[in-house]
Amino acid sequence: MKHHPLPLAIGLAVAGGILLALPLATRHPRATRPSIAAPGPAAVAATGGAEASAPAGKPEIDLTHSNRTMAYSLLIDILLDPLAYRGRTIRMAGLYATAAPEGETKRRHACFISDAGACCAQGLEFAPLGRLVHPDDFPPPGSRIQVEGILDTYEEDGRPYAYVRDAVITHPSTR
Amino acid sequence: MQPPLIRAENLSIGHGTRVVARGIAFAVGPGDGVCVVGGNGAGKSTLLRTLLGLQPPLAGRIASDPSLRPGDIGYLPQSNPAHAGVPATAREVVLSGCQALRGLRPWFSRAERRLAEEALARFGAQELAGRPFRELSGGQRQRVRLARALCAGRRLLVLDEPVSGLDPGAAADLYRTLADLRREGRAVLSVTHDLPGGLADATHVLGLGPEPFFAPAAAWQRRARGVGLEGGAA
Amino acid sequence: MSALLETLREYLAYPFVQKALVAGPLVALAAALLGVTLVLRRLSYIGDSLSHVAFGSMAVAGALGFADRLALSLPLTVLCAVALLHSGRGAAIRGDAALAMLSVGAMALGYLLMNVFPGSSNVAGDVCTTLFGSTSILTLSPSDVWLCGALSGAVAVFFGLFRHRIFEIVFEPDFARAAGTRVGAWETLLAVLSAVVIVLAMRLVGTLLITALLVFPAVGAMRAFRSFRAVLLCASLVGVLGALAGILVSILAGTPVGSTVVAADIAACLVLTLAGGLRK
Repeated sequence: MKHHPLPLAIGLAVAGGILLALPLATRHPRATRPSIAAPGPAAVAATGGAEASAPAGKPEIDLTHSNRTMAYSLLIDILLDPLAYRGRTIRMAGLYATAAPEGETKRRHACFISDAGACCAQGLEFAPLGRLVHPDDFPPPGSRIQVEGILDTYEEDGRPYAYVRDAVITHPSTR
Repeated sequence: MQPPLIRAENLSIGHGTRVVARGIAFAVGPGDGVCVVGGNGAGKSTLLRTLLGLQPPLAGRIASDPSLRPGDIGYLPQSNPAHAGVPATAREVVLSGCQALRGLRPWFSRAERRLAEEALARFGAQELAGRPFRELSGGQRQRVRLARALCAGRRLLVLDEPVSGLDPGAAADLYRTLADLRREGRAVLSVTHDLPGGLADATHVLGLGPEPFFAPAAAWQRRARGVGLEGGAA
Repeated sequence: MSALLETLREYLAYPFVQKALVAGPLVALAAALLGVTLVLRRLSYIGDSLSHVAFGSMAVAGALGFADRLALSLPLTVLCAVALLHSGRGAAIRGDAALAMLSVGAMALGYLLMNVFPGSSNVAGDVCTTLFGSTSILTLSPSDVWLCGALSGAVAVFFGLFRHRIFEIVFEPDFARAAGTRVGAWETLLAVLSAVVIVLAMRLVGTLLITALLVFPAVGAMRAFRSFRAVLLCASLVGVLGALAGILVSILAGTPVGSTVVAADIAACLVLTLAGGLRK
């Protein structure tokens, strides 16, 4: 019988090359800490609450005009690569969530959007402009909000996380 | 006397531990035409597969001429219903018979292509070359597969039911072609249920069953007539 | 129309879109080529079972705390593929019931593990993404793209160099064995490549839809063309164009990527079937 070590050699080379190329760490989108849970599936219509004036000028990244596939993917990209988007203005619309984790002084706020299949939701943290007091100055959790501000990063455990600085929250009255 | 291409001694064949036939002994030399006969389930196809190394023998020995390489043996398996859907032209099927010659080279050489065309012509199938294999009739497919076996069988042809699917005219042509191939030095080992036709040109007969035997064709015909197998008086 | 083009141009500026448009079609190409060998050997359902095994092993890897779940799921899926795809005598695991048990068992245990040992805060979302691949192709890291590129390049080169050998293995392994070809080694190689492509294709269309990437291009090509070479070329083209079209449509229309790619493949398969029917 003829011996053909070549096919086996090719197979081993392919498998070995793939295993060697595997990254040792995967980036996980964790800009929002697990302590803030995504809002429930039912989107509650916006009701009353604090109104802030909308900032002037068109934002560089406008997720409100993108479809869900694009908006969601772009958000993931921001979360995975925060330093690349630093300093750009952003506008996004989604569901509001907030949490005050134990052992922390600051309350955290985030805006969540879901993907086209509506099975996954990802949130972007924001720090409101001005001195707002929870809960009076904030909309109810789970309500639909629009957030506009500047993308920036903060560091935690040695890794950069994205958030929206000087965020202005508005309630779209329709939708 | 030339050394045999294949010789079997006290061979037992079967599947797993189940023995289908035992005590088989025979030798095939260049130019021989060995016809394998036996009832259904006697192990004819199993014998061919064992000789080709597709299954292990359960006991006994198979010795082959050391100069006989796998690329010198052409195999015609029984017709395979799984071929019904495979997209391939007849030419592609016949060319696959040259795989031992081609080896790892990514293309077929001109000599190999010529060999395939000649093989197709040998079995009267040259006009089928460009047609899709799955659209051919049973007899046409059989001729293409014979041509494939010929491409691979430079010294030995192992054929399982070569005339299956062929009308009597085509079968007669086939036997003539096989006789020509044997005259050119090839050995032919075939399993057949077509007793009169298959035996007419055979040089030896290998009978499988409870009492396997191997004998020159003439001797077998005398014996068969004696026990009424050829329609003679008992 | 020009507004659409303008939007498209804006989207194409994003690196993650470019990465998707490179990696997606490449993975689909490899899947289409390997799919031809699976369909011709009547092993399409094994592709489905392998993707379920990949899902389960990803869950196990997550539960065990692997930083990169591919490091466990690739070898496990490859091992299963080799066990399943050997046409040898020891193919006990290929029995109908055994395959069903392996397939659904991997899925169920995987899902159970993901809930008991959550690797992230959004288990339901992770499961959904892995199953349906709604946007995972748009969230690739640079190493993901290299992996897909390298793999698909290797598969394409492999098929280019050894298409005759692959045909012989698929058409009649017994004849090939009798002619001295090491059928077992080649089949193992095909099994390994199939498993790797299936694991990587989960990023494009998700676990449940991988069979589509494997089967639709192959079946369409086989309906319209009659030589093995033409079938390979056609299947490759369908795979690449289907993935391209699917990704572009999904980012413009806001549909889930996986299902859109499959829809494009189905459309191509229908067109090819019609063309094949007209040819007769």
